[in-house]
Amino acid sequence: MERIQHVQGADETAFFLADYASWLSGCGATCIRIEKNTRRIAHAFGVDFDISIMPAHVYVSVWNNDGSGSTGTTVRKTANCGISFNLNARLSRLSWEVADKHLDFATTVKRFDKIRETQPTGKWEVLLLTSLANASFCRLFGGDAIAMLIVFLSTLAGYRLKQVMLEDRRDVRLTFLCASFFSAAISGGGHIFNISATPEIAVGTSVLYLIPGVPYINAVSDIIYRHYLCAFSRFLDATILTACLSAGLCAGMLILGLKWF
Amino acid sequence: MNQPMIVWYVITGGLLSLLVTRTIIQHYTSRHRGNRKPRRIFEIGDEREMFYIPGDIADDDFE
Repeated sequence: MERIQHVQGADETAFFLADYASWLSGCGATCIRIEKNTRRIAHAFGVDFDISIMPAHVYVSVWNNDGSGSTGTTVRKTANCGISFNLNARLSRLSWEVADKHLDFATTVKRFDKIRETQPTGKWEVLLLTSLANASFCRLFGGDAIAMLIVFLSTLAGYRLKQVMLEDRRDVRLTFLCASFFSAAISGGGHIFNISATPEIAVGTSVLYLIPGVPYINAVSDIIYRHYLCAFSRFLDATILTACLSAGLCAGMLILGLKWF
Repeated sequence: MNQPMIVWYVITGGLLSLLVTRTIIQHYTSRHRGNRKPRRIFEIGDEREMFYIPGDIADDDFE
């Protein structure tokens, strides 16, 4: 990898790299991905670099080994941009562009600012695709067509409730509890009205869209690469959300008088 | 009509009325947010943009 001649100060570089790492962390990248991408950019800018990733912050130090003694250290809070594979991919693409196409610092910052303006996927698209995906889960677990329809509708209602509550800035744990409660209760219609041959699969799969898969997977990746603090933080977050959705599911089944086993 | 059915109707009706009311209120109060480009649902990306691939450039690896 060819190094670009270093023309900006270490402070500026540290500032940019910390911003970059905080956005990457916020959009759901693993610690190893954050380290690799940030190191790639730092190397391309011709500076030495180290990073410390904590559950809610990133610390970046940059220094020049050219005898100038120029150094810079920046701390950034993890960006609150929500998990987004689109953002993750664009930020990773930027790091490769800096390394492969030798972008200068100003162009890189400009592109980064443009990436930060990326709009999230439309909420109606996400709502529809999530409902279809959850209905497909129902099929995977052996549900019949009516059970799939029930799961589709219960996911549609539950996920919409989740969107509404998160838009209103309600607590995410309460949101998960309410969404799973309503999804479970609505999908219990299969049992109550006797309209499906596999109503229990409909109830079981109706809350799967709430499973926090990305934090669980990232926690495993972080454990593998010995980022234990981040791994523990992600795992605990995911476990609490899973407990909330389980409580909602149980409450829904209890209130409708459905048998648990 | 037995009790679970009544409970089901109350829960479903309550949630539906909440969501419909919310949608109607939003429809009448929201403003247009300018000319936003709609995002594409599907895009073709590069594998290496997101995942670690064994065989990445050697000096990019960690001890």
